[in-house]
Amino acid sequence: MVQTTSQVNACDVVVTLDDQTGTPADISGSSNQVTMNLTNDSGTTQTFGAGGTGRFPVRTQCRSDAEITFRAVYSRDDGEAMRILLDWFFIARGHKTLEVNIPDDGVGADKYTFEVILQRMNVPVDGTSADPILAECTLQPTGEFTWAVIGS
Amino acid sequence: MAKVRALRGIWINTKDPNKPSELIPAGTDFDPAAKGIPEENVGVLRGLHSIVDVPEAKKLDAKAADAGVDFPSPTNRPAG
Repeated sequence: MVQTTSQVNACDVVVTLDDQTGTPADISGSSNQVTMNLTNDSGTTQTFGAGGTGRFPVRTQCRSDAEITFRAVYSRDDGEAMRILLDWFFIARGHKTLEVNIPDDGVGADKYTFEVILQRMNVPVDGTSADPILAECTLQPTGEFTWAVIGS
Repeated sequence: MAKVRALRGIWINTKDPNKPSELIPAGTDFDPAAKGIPEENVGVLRGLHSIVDVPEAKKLDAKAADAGVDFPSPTNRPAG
């Protein structure tokens, strides 16, 4: 087996999220983690085991879903991740477009696109830490989400 | 330019605020030049096995049908 040479890391990942005006904003500079949990709905059953055939279950698949956790740096400038999230929670609810480009947003990069709602936001405020506050939120897609390659 | 088939979704950034970006769904045959994809980008997409020429795609269709899988799928892309 040939060892891969196309491995990537997340250093230059580009994340965009609609801002308060609905315009995609590059929030890569005010966030540092996105976890896309992709799931397929599956069903299972067992059968009687004549001849040993029932030893293992049979499975079927139905729908696909996702849940995205996203970590934002608590900053105070408009157009940055935290302000967009706070506005989204407190002022203008609804769905926004989230795009995650790996390893960057150049030609050939992977682009994941979701239309998401803000389901939960955790803002840990710890007076014993000198580190910047990092808020974590959970986003859930509504409608189709896609995986594509950037062609131009 | 000859048509190619998208083996996965192809995202076209128009960079024009008046013209929205476009997603070409996996399995679609299209002309890269007509979609404004420069030749060098087409080379990148070929190198990533994200597109193949339509005649080659039809061979893969037949192979996939024999194997009983939907096309395109990650399991029947041409070997890298």
